[in-house]
Amino acid sequence: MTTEEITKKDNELLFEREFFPHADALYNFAYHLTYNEDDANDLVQDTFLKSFRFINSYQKGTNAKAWLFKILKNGFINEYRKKSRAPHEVDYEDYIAFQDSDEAAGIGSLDMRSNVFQNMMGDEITNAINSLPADFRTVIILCDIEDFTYEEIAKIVDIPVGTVRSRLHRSRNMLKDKLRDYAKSKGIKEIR
Amino acid sequence: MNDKQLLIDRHNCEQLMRKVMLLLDGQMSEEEEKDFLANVSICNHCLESYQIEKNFKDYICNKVERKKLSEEALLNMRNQIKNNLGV
Repeated sequence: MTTEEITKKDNELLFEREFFPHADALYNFAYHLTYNEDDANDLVQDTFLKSFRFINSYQKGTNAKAWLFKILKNGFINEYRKKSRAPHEVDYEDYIAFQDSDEAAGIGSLDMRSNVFQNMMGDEITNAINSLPADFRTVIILCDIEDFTYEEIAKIVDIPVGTVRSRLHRSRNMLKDKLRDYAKSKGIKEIR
Repeated sequence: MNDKQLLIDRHNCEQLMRKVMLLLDGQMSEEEEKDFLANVSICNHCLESYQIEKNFKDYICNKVERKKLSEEALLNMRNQIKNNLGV
């Protein structure tokens, strides 16, 4: 076997052992970013192709999942979001830059009783998350669904750890407000 | 002054509740976690708030629909990478 053939075989093994096992998680993340199955497929495919292109910058046995998520998130920001941004969509980056401070990370509303949302179906919670601006739903998906640490999220999203914390706090409060509104519209009463 | 009285004297609901998500997100050390739970247990308001946040996190974790890539799509991606690798 030539050196080139060995490298190809090694890379194939790398994809099978370290990259492809995260395909579903990547797709789930991509879907929550785009709300569209075809776009999510394209984003995941593009992520794998880029991971192949940048394979020399990946160290075997390190955090493949976080590395792939970062590629996917960058792909979404740099290509997909620019292409598909709806005319009415607000640019939240300025808003976030203004809001992301320790001071803003106040305690927020903690008055939601479990019975308000315990009867909600997964679809309702999924829809509520999908209705959050992309930067806010991203941290919720990464933390609550994919179980990344704050440090990993900071690297994936390219923001300081303190900002991950405050953004998560704000995202959860926005989500609670949406679920509370939904519950009210369905006649589910909150216990006070 | 016993340990419980010390905890009660130093208890600050707002400060404690600022840390609740750190615990639920697995960002506390074992020591910090023990300290947090000891503090929460002496205040009904904090205990209730903690339980609400925990329920909320559990609902998000358990109820959000997890999308899966179709086998066909994954096979296509595998083939595309193999072609790029030249295997």
